[in-house]
Parts: sequence; structure tokens; C-alpha cells
Amino acid sequence: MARLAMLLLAFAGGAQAGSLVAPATEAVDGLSQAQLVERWWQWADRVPPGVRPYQDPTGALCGLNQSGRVWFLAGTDGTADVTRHCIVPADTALFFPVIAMLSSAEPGKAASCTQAVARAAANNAHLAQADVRVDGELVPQVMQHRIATPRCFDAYPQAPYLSNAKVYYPAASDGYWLLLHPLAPGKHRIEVHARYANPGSDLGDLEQVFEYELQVGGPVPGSDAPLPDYI
Amino acid sequence: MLRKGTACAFALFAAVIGSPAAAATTRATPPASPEPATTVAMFADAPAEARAFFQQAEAADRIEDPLARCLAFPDLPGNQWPAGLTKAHCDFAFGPRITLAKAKALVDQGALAELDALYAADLEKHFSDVGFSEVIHRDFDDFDASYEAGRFTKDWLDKAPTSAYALSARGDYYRAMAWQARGGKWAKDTPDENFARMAEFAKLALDLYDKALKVEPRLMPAYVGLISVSGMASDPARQSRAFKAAAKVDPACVSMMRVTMGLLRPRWDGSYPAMQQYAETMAPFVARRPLIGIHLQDALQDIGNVLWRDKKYDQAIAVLKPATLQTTNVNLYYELGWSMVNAANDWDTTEILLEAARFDHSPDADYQFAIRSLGRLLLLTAKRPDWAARYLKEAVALKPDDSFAHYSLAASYLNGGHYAQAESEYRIAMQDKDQRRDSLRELAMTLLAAHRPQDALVVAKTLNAEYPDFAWGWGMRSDIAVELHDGPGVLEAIHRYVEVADRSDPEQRLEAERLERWLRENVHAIQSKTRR
Repeated sequence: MARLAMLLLAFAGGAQAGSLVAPATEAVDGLSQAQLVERWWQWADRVPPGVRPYQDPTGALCGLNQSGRVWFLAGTDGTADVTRHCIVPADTALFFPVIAMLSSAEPGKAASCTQAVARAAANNAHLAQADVRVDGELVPQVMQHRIATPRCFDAYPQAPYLSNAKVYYPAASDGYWLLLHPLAPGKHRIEVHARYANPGSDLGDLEQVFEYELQVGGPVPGSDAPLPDYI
Repeated sequence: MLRKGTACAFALFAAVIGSPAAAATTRATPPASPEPATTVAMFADAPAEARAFFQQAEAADRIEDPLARCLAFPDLPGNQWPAGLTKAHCDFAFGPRITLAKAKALVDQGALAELDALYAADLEKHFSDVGFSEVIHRDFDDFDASYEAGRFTKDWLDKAPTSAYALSARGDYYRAMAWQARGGKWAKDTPDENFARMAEFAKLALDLYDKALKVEPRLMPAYVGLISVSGMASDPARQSRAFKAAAKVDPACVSMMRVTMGLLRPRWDGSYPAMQQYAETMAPFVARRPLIGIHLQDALQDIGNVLWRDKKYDQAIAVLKPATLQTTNVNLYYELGWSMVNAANDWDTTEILLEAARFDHSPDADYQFAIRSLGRLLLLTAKRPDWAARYLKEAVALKPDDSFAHYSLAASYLNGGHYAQAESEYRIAMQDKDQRRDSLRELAMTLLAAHRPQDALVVAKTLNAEYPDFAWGWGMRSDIAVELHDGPGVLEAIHRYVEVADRSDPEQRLEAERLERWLRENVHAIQSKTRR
């Protein structure tokens, strides 16, 4: 399976975008960014297809299954350009893929870890565009934020909707991710436009365009909060 | 399937002990060898009046072209289907249409006007007496919740933002995503976030359908989508407006009838009298529009569904079986098939599921389950392993993680003498603990039949180690020992069989008793052989 997710990033108005972006080697809460990548996919796959964060058309559910001092934002899978509106707690770092891939075994299609790693990596040497703007400021040198999971992992440890999640093991991820230091309270805008150019490869033409309109601080709708009025 | 021991297996080790030479020329055979493909032998166990049906159905299933296959299939014996329904249904299900691949090729070439022209031409057929066709509905069939549909409809709409067809196709994608987010469980078992996401996608779909209909007010598939999805968005007023508008455009549209019948079901606050009244309103159109005949019995289908869910299988059959003589509605056949699987004879069930598989063109969960069941019936009841494999291969392709489908396909290959394919499928099935024991045993059987006794022994050792109390596993082990001229191995396996046989199972008890007698009667010969 090859899927792709992407996200955005955020940061305080008036600051330089680059200063908000943590180096790819920086850990948070004792977790390396490679470990955050594993957790991000596990977070994304905790809900079934149709409800996945990278399929979110509005951002209304952006607080679902979030916890701790790092929040995950999601990209898209390339099936829609989206603008999401999301309320994020203050003093919370943000972690998201600019463009990334997950490869795993599938039902009836076993894969070795080596195969999963190779498939996840396939398009990432062909990054044609990776524009990330935070509050209008371009984030520099996104290409330095490539993160490949150093080991294979289980992307579905908490997926009650699957009857036999183990058939999806092993999984590997490779791509470009950003960890943002906590944004200042207030409104922020993150814009991402990224694409691969690897003709003939699975998802080698993936292009993702998405935006987050963030409100940092204030009440955060989450799994314990009331759902939007139209539900 | 193939879960029981076979008499031929134990006959073999008598042979090896009594006469090694005989054993050398005797090999294990699959437990249910296919019958000769002659008219006389085919379906000999079937009711006499049904044999011709099965012969014609098997012949039709050899036809590759789906439309030709559907047309060549025998009609249900005794049916009173409306005139022209068979051909209309086959044409609708399998006739030429615009596929996603075709549409994508045109969009990739930049031939947007040409693609719109194709859709417009099919839409015109919906309103033409000459060359009438409702294929315009099927032209949108591929715009489901798949990743491919998502990528394509986005691309198409980006390039053709005012195309009614692109708008409706994107609406269909979001409608399918709404259903996917909703999931198939009861509301009480469905998380709030699923409903939240469903409503978000439904709203996107509604807006797209509205835009499409502003561009092309006769676009019936957009009305169908609008009516269907407005319920998900809790917008009954919009639903009502859409229904009235669509009825003005074409009151006899089969797709409109399908979605309307769905909304009239009691579970959606409708009623059976309302469904019946609507059917009576539509019945006069049947002569001119035979496809209407598909849905005239929908009330009975829903009654049957409720009875089936309540496990009142006999009552469900009593309601549904007569209805099959009036309609080709695949869903009604499935309701009947599920009930018959639980309560009736296998030949009738096979007939009903074959007829359903004839017309079904939407490979969803019901279809996958139906063809898996059908494959097993064709193997076990009709004893036609190659025919069974036709359906089971498709079942596996549709649901690659269905280990029971893999197991069943393996068994059909084994019984058809296709040992390499059987091995491959058993090795997949055995990864699932639910299928592992029987798959191991039958894999060993397969390898033995393929003259690979050493490979079979490796598998049998695994089987015996993991399931030491499984008597048939020791039976398999003995067969292999016979093939390997391993007298002590045969004896050991017999003793283990006798020791662990489940005497509450009549077959195992009889076999154990037979073996015990044989051991007593041949004790001297055995001792002589094993001393050598």
C-alpha cells in the first residue's frame, strides 16, 4: 500500500518561519522525529477510511485523538485541495508531513521490511515542489527535513475497525516532515503545496495542496467536546 | 471443505504393509475427483428438472464477454418476468458505457469537450424513443470512494469546473465517501466522528449536484445523487424538491425508482403500503420501460430481509421465492440465497445464487459473499471444481484478505487437479489461524497428489506438531508414510490416529474401529515388516 499524507505548519505572526521550525534532529518529549512519524501514521490509521485525518475536508475533527505536547496536523492524499480550520491548544508543538509516503503489506500481498522501505522511499528522491508558508513566510530548506523511519513498524496497533490488522505489517515511511515549535496564541495560517515528479511510479505524480487556518489557544474541540451543530 | 478423512487414505497403508510393491504404484488421490465432463454424468445429483439449467449456466459461464454471458445464461425456471426484462437488465448491467479509464484517457488528452459530448449523447438516449437507454446512470458507476475516483474527479473538475458531468461525478465521489465514513454498522455502534465526517462529505456532494443541475437540468444521475445524499445531510426539504423536479423530467427512470423505493422502506420512516402503492404507480411503465420490473417487488425484498435478520429463514423463503419469479432484482435473490443457505437444499440455493451472479455488476460485499458461497456450492454440491474456481478466483480478487475464500479456492484447485495453484492458495489461507489446520492438512494432500511426498511430509509434521489431537492429521501423515514406504511411520501414524480419534464423530469412530480391527488381524505381518 502506498499512501501519502501531507501537512502544514504553523507559526507565530511576524516571526521568521525558519526560526519556528525545529531541526530534523530535534526531539520533543523524548521522541525523535522518526518516532513521531510512526506515531503520526498510527494516529492517522486509528480511524477507518473515510474518517482519516488526511481525508478531512474542513478541519472540524482536527482535535480527534490528539494528546500531549505535540499535535499532529494532516496533509491530504491528493484527492482534494482543502482548507481546514482548526483550534490548537497553546504551548503545543505541531508535527506534520509536507509530503510523505507509507508503504505496508496488504491483505494477500505480503511484503518484507526491505520492500516496504524501498517503496516508501521511491518517490522521495523526486521531490519537485515543497512550498510551505507560515503566516505568509516561506519555510526555507524543507528538503533538509526528510525523515525515513529507521525500522519497520506497525501502522495499525489501534485499529478496531480491522479484523486482522497484522496483515498490514510491516510498514515503513519516508518523506518530508516539519516539527514546529509552539505558535504564539492567536490566528495563524499554514499553506503547503508539494508534489513529486516520478513518472511511472506509484503515486509518483502526487500533488498536494492544503491550508490550515489555525486558532492557537482558546477552547479546543476534541473527542470530549460537543460535535459541530450540523451533526 | 475437505475437512474429513478419506477412506482411500487408510486403504493405502494397508497396501504398503501388506505389499510394498502395490504401494509404490498407488498414490493418494484428491478426495473429490471431478466427474467426467459428459452430459450424462453432469449434475446427476441435481433435481431432474434443474439439470438443463445447470448445464446451460455452466456453458454460459465459459463466455468471457460479460454481456454475452448474461444473455446466454438460462432464465430462472418457471419465471414470469416482464417481457424484455432479461435483455434490458443484461444491457443495463453489462452493456458498453463510459468507464473511469475511458474518461481519464480523454481528460489526460485534454479532450474535455469530447468527454462531455459522450455523456451528453448517453443522456439524450434517456429521453429518446429511438435507441432508448438508461446507460447514463451506469456512466457514473466508477465514481465511488476509491482513491482512483478521488484523484480523477478532482482532476476532471479542476479542468472542467462548469461541466455538469464533472460536477456530478465529483458529487458521486463525495457521496460514496460519505457512505464510507458512515460505515456499515448500526448507528449505536458507530462513533460520532464517523457521522460527523459523513455529514461533511454529504454537504460537499449536495453542493456539487446542485451546480450540476443548474448546468444540465435533465441530468437524472444528479437527481438520484441529490435525493440519496440529502437524507444523509438531514435535509428533507431539499430531498423533496429534488424528487419532484426529477419526476417532472422522467417519472419512469429506473434509478429514481431504486432510490425512491429505498427511502420508502419502513426503516427509513416509510411503509410497505407506501412501497406497494408506488410500485402500482410505476407498473404501467413496465411495457415501455422493462427495467422498472426490477423494483416492483422491493417491498417483498425488504420483508424478506427483515425475516432473514430475525433468523426466520423458512418465512423469508416463503416470501422471497415466489417473488423471484416476478423480478430479476439481485438484492432480492441475495436475501433468498442467505435464507436458503441456512434452511434449504443446496441445489435450490445454487440456482438462486447463480441467477444473482448473472445480473450483478456491482462488486460489493454482498456480491463477494455470494460468489464465495456459490463457489463452495459448485464444488461441494455440483462437484464442478473448475466452475467453482471461476467464482472463487473472483471472490479472492475482490477481498484478498478473505482467508476462507483462499481456502475454498485452494480446494477447488485441488479437486480440479491444479496442484501448483492449490499449493499457492493453501499457503495463503494457512496464515490465518482459523483456516490453518485444514489448510495444512489439505496442502499436504495436495503435495502428495503432486508426487512430492517429502514436501508433504514437512507440512504434515507441522500439522501434527501444531495439532497433535487432530486425528485426520495423523491420517494424512500415514498416507505420506505409505508413499515413502515408511512402514514404521505408517504404524506410528495409525496408532496416533486410533489414540486421538474423536469417537463422538461417527466417521472417526468407524475409521478408528476399522483400523483397530486391521491392526489386530495383521499383527504378525506388521511385526515381520517392521523388524526388517
